[in-house]
Amino acid sequence: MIEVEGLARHFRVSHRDAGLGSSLKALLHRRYELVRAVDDVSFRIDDGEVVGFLGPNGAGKTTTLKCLAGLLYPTHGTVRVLGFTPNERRAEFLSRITFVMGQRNQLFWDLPTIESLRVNQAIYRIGDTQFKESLDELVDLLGLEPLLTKQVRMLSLGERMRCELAAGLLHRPDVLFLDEPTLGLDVRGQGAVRSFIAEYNQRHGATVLLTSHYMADVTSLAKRVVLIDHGVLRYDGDLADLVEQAAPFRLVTVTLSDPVESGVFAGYGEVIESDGTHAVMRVPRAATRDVASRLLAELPVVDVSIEEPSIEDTMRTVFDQRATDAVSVDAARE
Amino acid sequence: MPPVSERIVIWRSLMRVGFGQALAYRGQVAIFLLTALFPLVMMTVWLSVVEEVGPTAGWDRQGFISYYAVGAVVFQLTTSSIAWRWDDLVRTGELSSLLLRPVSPLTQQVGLEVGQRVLSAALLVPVLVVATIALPDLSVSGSVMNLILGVVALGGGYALTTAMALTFAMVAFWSTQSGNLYALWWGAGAFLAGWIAPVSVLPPGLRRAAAILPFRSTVGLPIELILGRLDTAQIVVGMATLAGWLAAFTVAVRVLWSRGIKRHQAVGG
Repeated sequence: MIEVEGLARHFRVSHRDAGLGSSLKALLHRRYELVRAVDDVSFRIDDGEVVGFLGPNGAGKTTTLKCLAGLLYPTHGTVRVLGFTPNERRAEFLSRITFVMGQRNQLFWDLPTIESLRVNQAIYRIGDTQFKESLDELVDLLGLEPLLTKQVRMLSLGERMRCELAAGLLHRPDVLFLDEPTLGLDVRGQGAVRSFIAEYNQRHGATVLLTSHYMADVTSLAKRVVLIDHGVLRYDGDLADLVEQAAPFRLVTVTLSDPVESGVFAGYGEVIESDGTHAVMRVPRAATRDVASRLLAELPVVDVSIEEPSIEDTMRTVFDQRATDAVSVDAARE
Repeated sequence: MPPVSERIVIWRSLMRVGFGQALAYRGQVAIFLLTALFPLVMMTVWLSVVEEVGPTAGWDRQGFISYYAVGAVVFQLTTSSIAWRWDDLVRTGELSSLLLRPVSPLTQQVGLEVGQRVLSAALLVPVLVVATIALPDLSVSGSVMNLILGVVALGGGYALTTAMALTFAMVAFWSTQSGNLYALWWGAGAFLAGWIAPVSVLPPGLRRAAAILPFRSTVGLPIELILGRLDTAQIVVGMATLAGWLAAFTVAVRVLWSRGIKRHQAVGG
């Protein structure tokens, strides 16, 4: 179980302008800014849950994960993971978690992958039988067989990511912190990593907290999402509910046998595009069925379809809305 | 803390990787062997001095040849690059990966480096043994006990160099200049360590400083022990100085680590 109460992590960040003069000036006097990367965030995740951790760049997602994994001391607040305080970094705690970072290399660069796995076997005190079982499972799920004896620096990004996952999961952790695990991978690579995470969660009942900029990662793995922006928690709940709140409409696409005047479609919903015989409209969710019935009754309809807006568009709407709100609040404060 | 048997497994595993990393590139091994020859340059300087003015502070031609030949091995085995490596780990955020494992990052780094030193020993010690047999001017005249104590001092010297390096490495939690600071410390100390010349050749003031400061314990002490040039009293004082500084720097590393890690910003990613 993960419990976060009033978590805050602030950083003191130095600034310097470009140029030689600024470099010399910075030697004597440096400008600092206090950055509130995470500010008063609280949530709780039960054992075995898969939760998507969402937010735009710089929102505070990775900082939160680092606090949960014990890499950072919180400025304020408390964090408990599996009953441990992460920043105490007890061996029993570290043996039960993993933190896979998409852009970080945990493997020994100049040596074959199997050497890194062997070192992890010793460090995590994995017995020979469990090591073999775990390795066989990972080789099978991630298709590692041809990669084990390859030098890490010779692996492609996708291959390396699969090896990183294997190194991170060899000790069968109970909690997985995954920060952009599919970053930079092609569609096939993303799919392989997603399937693997889902399979691991099912087989071992592990708790997964996942950040990703690829919405497909989140929609395929997590029912629940935690939304963070400017270090502040904005939403915690069902992904479907968030979509409904953020996008209270559906897209209705209609194709006609005979052209009608373009203004006709405005009577059914907000027109996004139209060309006389074809139109896409945004229609309030509650009115969708009624609009579809009217279209069929009143116009020469050949085809009509009703779709949910894409999750990417919805999240963009959410983040844009939050940004506007934040600006408004700041303006009101001034 | 894991039981001794598990700690042995962890150390063996890390050392194996360190050994493998050092062997990964043939060019790197060749350059390493070349750097081991540097002390022989200093030797030629002192041999020309002996030729012109005779033995200096009890060191004759055979003494200097033996000192620098043994020194070539000792310098390589008691050196440490951990301060620069640590500086990199903190600055680039790579330290995060090590912090996530249930073994101290210090152990992980030292384990890897010890593996590299094992390779150094495997390459250089046989050369020294063959040279001792083949060259009449190279004489290791100490007793077996001297040799054993010399090897103990060699291990202690590496431990002390590493503890000093780690003490400066911990500065990386507060400043980005820890590697350079260590270079300054080690550069100032190299003269008193016995790197440039045997400590007994130095002027009296520097000799007194060398006896008190930690540097001689890392180079001069093991060489002179192996060569059998120290009497019992000098051995006792030398080993006690080594143990004292090792304890002091170990405490310093622990204190700085426990304070520094709270400041760690886990940058990047």
